[in-house]
Amino acid sequence: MTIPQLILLLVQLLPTLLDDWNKIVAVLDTSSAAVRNAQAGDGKISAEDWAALDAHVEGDLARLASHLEDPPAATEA
Amino acid sequence: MSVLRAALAVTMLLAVAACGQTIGGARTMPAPKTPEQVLFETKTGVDLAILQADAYATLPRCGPGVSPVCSTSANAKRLYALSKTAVDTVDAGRPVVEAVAKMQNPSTSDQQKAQEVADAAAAALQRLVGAVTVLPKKGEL
Repeated sequence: MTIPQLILLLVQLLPTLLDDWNKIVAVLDTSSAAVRNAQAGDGKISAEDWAALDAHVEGDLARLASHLEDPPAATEA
Repeated sequence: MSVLRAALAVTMLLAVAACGQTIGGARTMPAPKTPEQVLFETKTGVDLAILQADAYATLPRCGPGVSPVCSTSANAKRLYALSKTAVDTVDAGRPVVEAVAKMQNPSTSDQQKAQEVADAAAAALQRLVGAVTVLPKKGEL
C-alpha cells in the first residue's frame, strides 16, 4: 500500500473511528454511572439503566446486521 | 500490522483504558459487585465489541483490486452470530440474577446459579472479544 493510499484509507476510516469512539464513551459513562448508583443504593441496577443499555445494544446489533449481505430475518435480530 | 489492525488496536486500547478507569473506580467501593452488576458490565462489554465488529463489517469487502484492509462476508456474518449469542446469553441470564437480587436471604444454591449465568455471559463476551480483537484475515474466522 502506498502512502497516498494509506492516507486516503485513514481519512475514510476516521469518521467511523470517531463515531465509534463517541459511542464507546457514551456507553461507558452510562454503565459506570449505573453501577455506581447501584452500589450507592440497594445494589440493584435500575430498570431505566437496563433499558438505556438495551437500547444501545439493540441499535448497534441492528446496524451490524444491516452490513451483512444476507441479513438475518427481523425475528432473529 | 495492517492499518485496520493498528486503528482498531488503538480504539480497543482506549476502550480498555476507559474500562480500567470505570472498573478501578468501582473497585474503591467497599461493596463487592453483585452478579447483576457483573452482568450489566458484561452487556456493556458486549456492546463495545459489537461496535468493533461493526467497524470491521463496514470495510470494503475483500476482492480483486481491493486493498488488504478489507472484510469478508463470512467473517462479518460470523461476528454477527457471536454478537447475537453474547446478547442472548446475557438476556437469558438476566431474569435469574434479578430474581436472586430480589431475595432477602438467597440460598447458596441460588447465589451459585446467579454466578453461573454471569460467568456464562462473561464467557460469551470473551469469545466475541477474541474474534474481534484477533482481527480475521481473508477467509479466516
